[in-house]
Amino acid sequence: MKRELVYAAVFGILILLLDAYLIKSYEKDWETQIDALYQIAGMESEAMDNLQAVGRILKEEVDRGQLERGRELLESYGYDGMYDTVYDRKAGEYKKRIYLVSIGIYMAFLFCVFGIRKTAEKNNRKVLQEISGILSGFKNQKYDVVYGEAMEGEAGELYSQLSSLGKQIKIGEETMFLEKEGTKQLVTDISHQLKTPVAALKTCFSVLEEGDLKEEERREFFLRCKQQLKGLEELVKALVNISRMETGMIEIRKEKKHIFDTMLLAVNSLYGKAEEKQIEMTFENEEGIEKLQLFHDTKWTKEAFINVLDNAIKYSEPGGMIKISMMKRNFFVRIEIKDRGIGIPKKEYTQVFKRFYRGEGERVKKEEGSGVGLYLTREILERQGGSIAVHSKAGEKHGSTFVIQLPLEGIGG
Amino acid sequence: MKEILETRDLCKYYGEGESMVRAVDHTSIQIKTGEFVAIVGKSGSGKSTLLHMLGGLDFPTSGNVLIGGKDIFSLKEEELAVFRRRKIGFVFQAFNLMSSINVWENIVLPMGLDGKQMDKQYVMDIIHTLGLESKLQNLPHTLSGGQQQRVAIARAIASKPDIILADEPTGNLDSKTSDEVVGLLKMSAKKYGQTLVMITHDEEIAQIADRIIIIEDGKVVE
Repeated sequence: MKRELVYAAVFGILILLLDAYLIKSYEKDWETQIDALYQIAGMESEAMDNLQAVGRILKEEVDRGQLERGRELLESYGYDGMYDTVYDRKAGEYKKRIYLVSIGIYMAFLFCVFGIRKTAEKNNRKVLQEISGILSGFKNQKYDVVYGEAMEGEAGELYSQLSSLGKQIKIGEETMFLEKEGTKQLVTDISHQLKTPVAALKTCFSVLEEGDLKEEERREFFLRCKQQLKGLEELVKALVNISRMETGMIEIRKEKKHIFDTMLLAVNSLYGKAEEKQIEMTFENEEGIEKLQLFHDTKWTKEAFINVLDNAIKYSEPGGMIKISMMKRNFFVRIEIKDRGIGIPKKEYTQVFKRFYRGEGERVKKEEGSGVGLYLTREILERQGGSIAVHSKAGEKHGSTFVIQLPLEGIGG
Repeated sequence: MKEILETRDLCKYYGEGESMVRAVDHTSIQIKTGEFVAIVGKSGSGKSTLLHMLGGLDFPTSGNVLIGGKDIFSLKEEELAVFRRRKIGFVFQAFNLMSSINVWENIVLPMGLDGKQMDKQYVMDIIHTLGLESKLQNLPHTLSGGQQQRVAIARAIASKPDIILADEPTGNLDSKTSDEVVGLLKMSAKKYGQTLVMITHDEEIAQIADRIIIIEDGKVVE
């Protein structure tokens, strides 16, 4: 508002100056005309005829004496300058006209200045109303900013920012919802998993409690209790890991490290177990892979490798062989872990990566396991932008090949 | 989580009477936002027809396709075209790149059609993720199959569609490259929060998806 007042004042002064100038120049003009009249009046009619006198005046040849004489003459008749003459009246009219026109122009100017301001204000108000509408939409969980996005300038920019903010909130909310649902599912799954062994343990104990057992039977039930307890311990360990992973307590911390070293750590930690079963683990790596560094979480990636290798050992016959090959591709390091074990039927390909899934085969049921390992492995790898898949044929000697991909440095951010 | 893509009793029949072929037969599927779904089936199982209808490229005999709750076949033809361009990115087996223009132009072309302001930083980011920086001036035919497929993926993702529909994206590639292409698709979709629907006959490739839908004789089996 202040700016507009300054404009109005400056323009007002300019118009007044212009008016003063116009009036001044008219007055000057009239003075010249009156002088001419004086000159004509002071003319001596014997010396010159009228035409000659007018010609002189037009040529601006001023005859001072004549002029003064004329003035005196006219003054003696009561004509003092412009006062009370046709000029006086005209001057009044002119001034009136000038002032009227100036006032008109000035009003038009004010109208423009304040009108523009009003329109801008109205526009702003509309934008503000729309934004407030969008924001109250946000409150009511409506995050789509539908209007104004195509608008130019700052308002358009504002809309597009609001729109992307809305999208972000939406994604955040959906992620939160997913996490909540995931946690619910996890709690259900875990309680389901724990129920069976706990019930078995309970039965075992209550049998022991009854007391009328032979020493031999007592010992057997005791052993069974112990086994159940051990199984439960394993399960709880796995569940703790999985819960940590699911609830985000495990943070993947990527560091630039040699991927081969991480694999080596995994292999070493299973060395004893493989030795026991006389299973040989060999590398068949692409040259230079030992020097390849990539961003990965060494601790959890090692865990992922261990899970796959552990399965390979578990489901291989004694004397078997496990081959690990690592190669650098365009975007991923590709790790193949190949065994000659029992293999996985095609219809179980995706199942094996599901939480708490265990294979249908007799052989699988015989082995200890909670159905968590491969699920965790997949989670760990996917959180690092990687993937895992199995290529396998069930049956003798075919075994399974697990293919792991982890993104190379600089890929995927 | 909201369903972004849904079919209700979707049918597509060809021919009439005795010789009628039911390419897609009363299919109802739901796909959630951000999900990576693989639709697996043998050739001739109707999976491509299904995908084409999901993307509004083909009209159903009956039933609906809903994208974000909106029935896409209730739209006028021009509206559908705009909707498709804004919401959906396609990756085809045959890549479908324009042979007379270079890689960069292929990637940004669909955005030009839409008069949409291009987010150059985002496009460069994708190009970097897909390792195409050095190929931008190349014409498509000078690239390998895997590289061409990466260009097709970049094109599909660049316009920030909500949904990417991929029809046998690895059909022409060897198995190691296939693994990489699917890995990349998954990684990009996760990174940019996009929903990915991929059609494949290869169950090994499909494993990388979050969920698998198996289709046989036009019907969802699983």
